[in-house]
Amino acid sequence: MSTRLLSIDGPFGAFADRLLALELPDLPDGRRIETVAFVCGRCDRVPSPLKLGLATLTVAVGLSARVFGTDRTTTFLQSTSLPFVGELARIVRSLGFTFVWESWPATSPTGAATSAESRS
Amino acid sequence: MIELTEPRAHHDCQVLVIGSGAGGATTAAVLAEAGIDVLIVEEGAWVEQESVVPFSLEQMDLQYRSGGVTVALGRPSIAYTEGRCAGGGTEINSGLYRRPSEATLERWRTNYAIDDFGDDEFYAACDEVEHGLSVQTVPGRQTPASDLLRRGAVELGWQHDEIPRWMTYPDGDDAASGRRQSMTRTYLPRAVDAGARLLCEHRVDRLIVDRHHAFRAELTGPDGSPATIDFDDVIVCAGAIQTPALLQRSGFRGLVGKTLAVHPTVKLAARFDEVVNVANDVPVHQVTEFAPALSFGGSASQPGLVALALTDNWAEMRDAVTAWPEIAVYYAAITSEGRGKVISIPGLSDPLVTYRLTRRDRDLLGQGLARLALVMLAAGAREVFPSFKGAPTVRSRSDLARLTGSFGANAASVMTVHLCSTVPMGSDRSKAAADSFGRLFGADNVFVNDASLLPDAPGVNPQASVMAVALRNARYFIDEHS
Repeated sequence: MSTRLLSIDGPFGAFADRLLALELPDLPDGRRIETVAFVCGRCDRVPSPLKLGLATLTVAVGLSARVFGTDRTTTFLQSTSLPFVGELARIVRSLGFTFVWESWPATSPTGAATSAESRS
Repeated sequence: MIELTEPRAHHDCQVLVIGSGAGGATTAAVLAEAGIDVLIVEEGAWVEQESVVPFSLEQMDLQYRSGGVTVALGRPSIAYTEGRCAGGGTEINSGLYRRPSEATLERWRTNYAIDDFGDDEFYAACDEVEHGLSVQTVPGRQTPASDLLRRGAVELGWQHDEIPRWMTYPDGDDAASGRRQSMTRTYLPRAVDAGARLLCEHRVDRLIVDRHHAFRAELTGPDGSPATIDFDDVIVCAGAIQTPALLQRSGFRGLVGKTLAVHPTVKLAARFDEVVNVANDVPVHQVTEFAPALSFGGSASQPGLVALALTDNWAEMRDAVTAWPEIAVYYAAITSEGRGKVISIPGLSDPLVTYRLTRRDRDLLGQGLARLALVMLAAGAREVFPSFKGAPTVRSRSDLARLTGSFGANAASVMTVHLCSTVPMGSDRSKAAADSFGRLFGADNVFVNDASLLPDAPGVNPQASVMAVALRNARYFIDEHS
């Protein structure tokens, strides 16, 4: 199954990057890129029926981003409780936040690196 | 590490055991010790216990299927985890051990007409498992998070107890010093010592069947290379998701995969005034006041998992994340009346998994979360953060009504680690997919011997049930074939 849609430079990666930028605005760029890569990597490994569903949703997200813009699309997905569509933000958030705090436990609630971590 | 079998294009064996977890390793050890030529095939790799941090993302990468991202679709969808490594789920779970109750055994025996399924014989098998795995309670100190659960139950006057674990404590007596007696430390070495061979990192794609008789397995190796195994009998022990999926791919349908049972859980994070977080261990205490319908226990609480517990209400609860050393994650588990399905879809390598909660299940999850929050407050929690969208932060008992009022199962992060019942055993063919000893209906020589056989979710950690049934059925197999 094609994984281009779920890659870091595909529409899913763009959505994940924007969502993390909105919810963890102070996460340093390098860490955000690393986190998006982790999220995309895990989503690329999900069982094939889920991957098919994720890829289908991602096509819709890509189209919506072209028509309405990435920011409006991301903001909608961030808060929607629509069945299955709402899971897209949830999976990015779940994987992304878990990765951030496991990798850098002293991260602030807005994503900022602490001075101790920045020096290391 | 034990010596693994070298990959080849073709293998032969008397009995092929597919899967090396609680069911497969036990089956292989019993058969090999009886002199049978056994080949065990495991899809995952052999990973030494000390080489990965328990409950970490690295462990999920190495030992969980799909990196730990597996979901049963439904409203709500239920996240679940499966082991995919030598030793299967026993390498990654909490090591908690409970025998099924007499009431559970009676329910299984009666509802599914399981032959020769007496309590005495079953509990004798449990005795054997407990000896083999060194099942015991913590000889010394428990973790702070475990103590808090006990303290909360005591304050409320609710029943509680410590769940024994299959652990040894060679370096001290506190909970965090335990060494897990998983399958790679116990039954797999026993099996190999008795002559069984273990082939890792090979996935069995399907069984070739001719007139109800399976004779060959087609495999794919780690580099994508094909291989085959010819056998006299095959015992599928790949877990409650992969076992029915393989059987369906091999042409067996009927009731296979139609009755998935799980223990759905909901979670919360509780913040205390002191450091309570032990990242690489789980609490061993459990609140059993409402068991088996509802039970409360503790989860892994790595900083990342604390953040995960807060994500459903990140805007409101995010400030707590920096206090993760003072936070532990707890769960409320229910015995569900719902059921799910495992469906193998042609053209897709993995099965579709679905699960449907009943109205009673949804209500029970909400009640469970509220009562668990009450335990946390009674234990001295300063703040409680339930994991569902729109949840209030609970700081006093007066907030519990708001929690109950705003809870909706569809908004909750529901998950499970106990999966079973996808090939239930029994002589009642209207309910069971395999006979009373695990032989698949419609096949002469295809057996199942893992969590799939349990008629329903036992209401407690199922590993004791899985291993006791595996011992029983493996011995019956030997008797039948001798």
